[in-house]
Amino acid sequence: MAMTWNSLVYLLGMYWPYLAGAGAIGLVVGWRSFAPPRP
Amino acid sequence: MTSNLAHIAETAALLLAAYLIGCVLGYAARRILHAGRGTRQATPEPVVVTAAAPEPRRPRSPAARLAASVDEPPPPAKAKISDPRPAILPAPRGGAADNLKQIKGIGPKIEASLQAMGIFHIDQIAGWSKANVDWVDAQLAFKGRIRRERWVEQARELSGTKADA
Repeated sequence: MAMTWNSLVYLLGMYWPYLAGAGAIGLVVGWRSFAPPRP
Repeated sequence: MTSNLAHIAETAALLLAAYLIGCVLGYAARRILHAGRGTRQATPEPVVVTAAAPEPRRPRSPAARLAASVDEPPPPAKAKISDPRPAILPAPRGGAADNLKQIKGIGPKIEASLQAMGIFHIDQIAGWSKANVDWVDAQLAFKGRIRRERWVEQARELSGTKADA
């Protein structure tokens, strides 16, 4: 269950498009969460 | 089977980490941009609004034209007693409105709303009394935002005036 360096590199190489997608979603969520309240 | 589960768990953890990093980066990026400019969009649209809005108003009345030609706004103390409405102008003095977005909390939309109300200059906001703030707050349905974001104080710092409200 422990995440080793090798498994991390493997997962990053294997699933980087999904990780990038999750990061992009997070980016949008984070961006919108700062939106000042609109009148 | 257990390795498969571990694989899924690790992938899920990585996805979560990527999402959280994205959240933090997005929030930080917008905060930095907001601090720098007021809002992220700095399109020339409001300028178009300022140029377009005053023109149809000019020929309306001689009093309005006279008010536009006056350099100083009417003293806010008078408005405080009789009228909660702040000093407004039919058109920006000298034909050019101030960039109200210098005040943190004012973005392009609010700037356009203020200009539509006849507020074009930072010194106008600096001269608002408490009653004026309440009136504008109610007009724009801001629910106390003007006080929260300290527009008047910011405007005074920007314009360098020290008038009391």
